[in-house]
Amino acid sequence: MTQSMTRSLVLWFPGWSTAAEARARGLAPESPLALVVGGTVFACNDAAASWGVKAGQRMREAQAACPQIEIRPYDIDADYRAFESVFQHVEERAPGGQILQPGLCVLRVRGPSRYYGGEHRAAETLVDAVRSVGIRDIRAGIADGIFPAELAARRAEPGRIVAIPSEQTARFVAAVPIDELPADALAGAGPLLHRLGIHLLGDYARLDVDQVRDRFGPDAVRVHRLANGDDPRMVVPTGITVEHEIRREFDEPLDRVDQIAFSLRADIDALAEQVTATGKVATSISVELCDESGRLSERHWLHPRFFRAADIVDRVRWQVQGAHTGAAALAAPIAAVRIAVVGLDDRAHYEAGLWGDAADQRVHAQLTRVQSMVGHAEVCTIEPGAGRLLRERQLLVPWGEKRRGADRSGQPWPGAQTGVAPSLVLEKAAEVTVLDTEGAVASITERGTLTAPLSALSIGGTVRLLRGWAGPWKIDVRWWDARTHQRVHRFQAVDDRGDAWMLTLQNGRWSIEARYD
Amino acid sequence: METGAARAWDAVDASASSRAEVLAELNGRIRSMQKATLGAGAEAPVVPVVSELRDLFPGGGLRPGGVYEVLSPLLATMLLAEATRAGDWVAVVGMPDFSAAAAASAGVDIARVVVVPHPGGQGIRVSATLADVMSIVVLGEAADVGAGEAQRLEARLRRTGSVLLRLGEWAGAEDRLAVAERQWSGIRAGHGHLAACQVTATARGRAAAPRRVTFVLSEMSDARDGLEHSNE
Repeated sequence: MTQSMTRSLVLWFPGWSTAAEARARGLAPESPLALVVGGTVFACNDAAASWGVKAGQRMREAQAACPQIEIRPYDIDADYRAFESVFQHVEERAPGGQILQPGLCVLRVRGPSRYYGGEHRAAETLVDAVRSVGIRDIRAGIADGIFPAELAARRAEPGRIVAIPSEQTARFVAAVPIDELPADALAGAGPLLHRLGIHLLGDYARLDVDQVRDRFGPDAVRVHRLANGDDPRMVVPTGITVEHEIRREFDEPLDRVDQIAFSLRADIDALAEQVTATGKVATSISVELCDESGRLSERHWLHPRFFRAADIVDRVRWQVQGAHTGAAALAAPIAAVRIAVVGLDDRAHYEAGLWGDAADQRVHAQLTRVQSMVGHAEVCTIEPGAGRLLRERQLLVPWGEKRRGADRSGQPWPGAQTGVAPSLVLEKAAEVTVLDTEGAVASITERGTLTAPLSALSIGGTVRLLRGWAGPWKIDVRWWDARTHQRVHRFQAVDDRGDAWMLTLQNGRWSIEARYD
Repeated sequence: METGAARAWDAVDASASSRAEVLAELNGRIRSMQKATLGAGAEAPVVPVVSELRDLFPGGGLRPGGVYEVLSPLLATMLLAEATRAGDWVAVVGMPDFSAAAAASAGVDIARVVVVPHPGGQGIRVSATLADVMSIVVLGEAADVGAGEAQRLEARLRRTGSVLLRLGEWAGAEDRLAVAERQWSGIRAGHGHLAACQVTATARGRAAAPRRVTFVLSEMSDARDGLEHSNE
């Protein structure tokens, strides 16, 4: 029996990527959303699916099927990071898990089941742990092997567990209809298989592997192997072919970040030289850490320019430290490290410019140091953003990441602010009270005019009389979508101390959007 | 043993002949070496600032290694402009409300600005780390500053020659920069918009007598051309 046939517990978060994106962007879960990669839909939520949007569709087709759909570029790094933060809650209760992809993770059942007294109990504990952090839709499957457990999880109701006893696993897998596989697993061969009279995985597994390869290609062969109980995932970590890599196993597992970094230094130097010798530079790397209990942490890292030896050491250090910035000691000692260069580019694109790049390299080194102090996402550059509200027009992009999507800030955004630029754009709009000449809180009629002229502004209890004011300017944010549509009225005002304000009125509430200080 | 000085003599011998020339050459070298090690000497050039604010400073610019109390975000933003245009990096620490729009219209090259909006309790440490590579660091008023930390940061600034603009109190600051007066034009009761503003900025400090400048911000162009539109 291969290693993959160990009893496994799979936790599945249906529609994870779209749900995570919606949470990160503050979108309502019931508004249609699709994530695209290279112009085709990578994932969509249920709301979009009910309009006929499907994974693999072209972006245009998706927009035609559902005009109010929100389209976002898919950012796999952000997705991994988001999933890791949830996965940590699983790990706290049962270490030794592995992320298969964002939204899908697997654990060996043996340890947790002994600890919690039964595999069902263990699964319940983990499901509850995840639900307690506000993720409603999680399903668990237990079976012999990752693939059967994944199939079992897909059978489960939200928040429930499907456990397949060991002796029934083979029969369970054989009886799964091929339609239950993820859409991309068979590379679109599903309808053809039905016409051939093959409706169940068991029938499919009995086909000759060479014929499957000839007719359906490598993806279908993978499923064929899985259906036959031959799961490569534990054995070979990823499908990426790699020219340059380091594999190090420590004789004694190391539990300090600096020890690990130090003992890898020579190897990483050699790796960097090896890459340089081929006339290439490394633009992305993957780092895998394996701790003593066999848990694997893998991550891809991108670099704004390219990786030098010191940059690679940094990435290993960050990954070892994980989300706990500044912590020197680890959750579990590291037994093995594998570093692979995943992305290569021609060095000619990266030669120093006329001005030399030594200074910028120092800037980069210092900024990455600050990132390790305060966190990756807290050190940012500012990119022009698209939108009408001032805060939307400045995007913070963490140092070392590429901006998402194209720059649309230059396109006309009717209603975007004009005039002298305010010197403070409030991160969180502050609530205020604005009074009109009648002495009441100023309000606006349905036709978009003020009921009475403005007269005073009250900020935290101090009242300032207004010397001048102008507005309203009506801003319709996302007017094309009834659910996320915001109607904002904007005003400018100057008070008796000479301070000037950009005020907004939305749903009867006044707030300060920006300030001239 | 061949020392650095001996090598310097050889080099000088080859290029200069007369004694006076040799002395001048060596003096020059010593000066340049001192500059490299001490960073900010008394005669070190100032960090340039936009022309409107030049008269606020005795040397016509920010003193390298100095700490300034800046009580107006507008002035802090404007002070970044010349440094970024010269290709230097600047950092804005602990100022989550930093306005990219104001920076762009003040002439700041936004690609050279790094922001750390929420440094937590580590504002001073972050600023000290950034001082090594940034020519100006803006430190928001929210960050707490202990006396010991402040002295260590000042020492680091003196070594690297970068400038700290503190949006708030700083014991022993070079100067205190503030906006004393603003006059808005273009806005009346219920119509118009904020089209221009005449700003009077002041500097008070231990270095020199109080100074003040007046300039006009206008929507028509970036801040530096503002004076033409002063009559609305």
